[in-house]
Amino acid sequence: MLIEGRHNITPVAKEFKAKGVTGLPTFEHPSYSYQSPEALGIWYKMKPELYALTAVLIDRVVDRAIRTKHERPPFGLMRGNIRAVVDLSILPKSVESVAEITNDQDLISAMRTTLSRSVREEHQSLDNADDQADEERNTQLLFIIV
Amino acid sequence: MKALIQFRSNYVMEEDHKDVNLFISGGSRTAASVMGSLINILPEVYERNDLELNPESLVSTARNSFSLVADLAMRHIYDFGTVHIRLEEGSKFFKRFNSKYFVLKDISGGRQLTITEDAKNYDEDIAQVFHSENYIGGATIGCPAMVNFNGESAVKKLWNWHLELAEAIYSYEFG
Repeated sequence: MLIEGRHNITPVAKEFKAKGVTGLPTFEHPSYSYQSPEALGIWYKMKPELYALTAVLIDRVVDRAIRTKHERPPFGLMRGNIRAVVDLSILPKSVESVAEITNDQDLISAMRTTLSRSVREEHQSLDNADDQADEERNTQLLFIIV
Repeated sequence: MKALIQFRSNYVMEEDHKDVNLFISGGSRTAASVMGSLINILPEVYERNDLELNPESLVSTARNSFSLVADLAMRHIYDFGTVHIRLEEGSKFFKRFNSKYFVLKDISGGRQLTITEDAKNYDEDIAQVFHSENYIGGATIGCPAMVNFNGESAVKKLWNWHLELAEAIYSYEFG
């Protein structure tokens, strides 16, 4: 299975509830669909909280883009080059525009905090691995010297 | 491995990029670009299979091809990066998908666009990274935009939107 209860998802469920997301989200897949406890895992090195926040924000961004598609059509017609006709300007270009679109500074700030913590922990973990490697090397050297 | 390093240096490892922008803005733009490229490549795959370029048939195949979009979105971010780079061809400024990696699969009620096993497979180097003891990343869970909030996922909604694009383009080109 993709995720086998490696993470405690309770904080994520609370976050969803606090942010007004009702009901458990399901994970969409062509072959199967299952409930969030399995789905809210990690993508790259994401913590479940970060995964959940990202999911909420992306959903809002896409909803907003679709709602406003008649005001700002996402595409025109241009022969021979479909990529050129997909106007991506409707999608957010910067952190500020994400905040503007999602209209939720709390979510953005929660995500930034989680991201910084995640990066910090990752560095810490790499530093620890380096320290451990140094220690092992020193021990080996000690053995050689002895 | 080169692809992995390229992907990491472009999108992941730069700490400055590790912000909301990477996940939301970068992700949605990549999604839109992939979906546009799939719509773009479909007529070429039809031509290679000597099939008639009929707007209704093309739109129906595009509609049936959400599973390919979902398959790409479900991949680990590194794996997706590798596959994405492999599928693309062209210059730095104009990239498009290479049709040799795409095939049509017959399914009940029509056809479906899918990618070849060659394009799908992990690079061995990448697989080694995933399976090494030193790898501290997570499971291959997929993009958060696949989470479905009481309806459709963001990926599905964006794909449906692109189907409108497909309908307009195919009718204009082949109608």
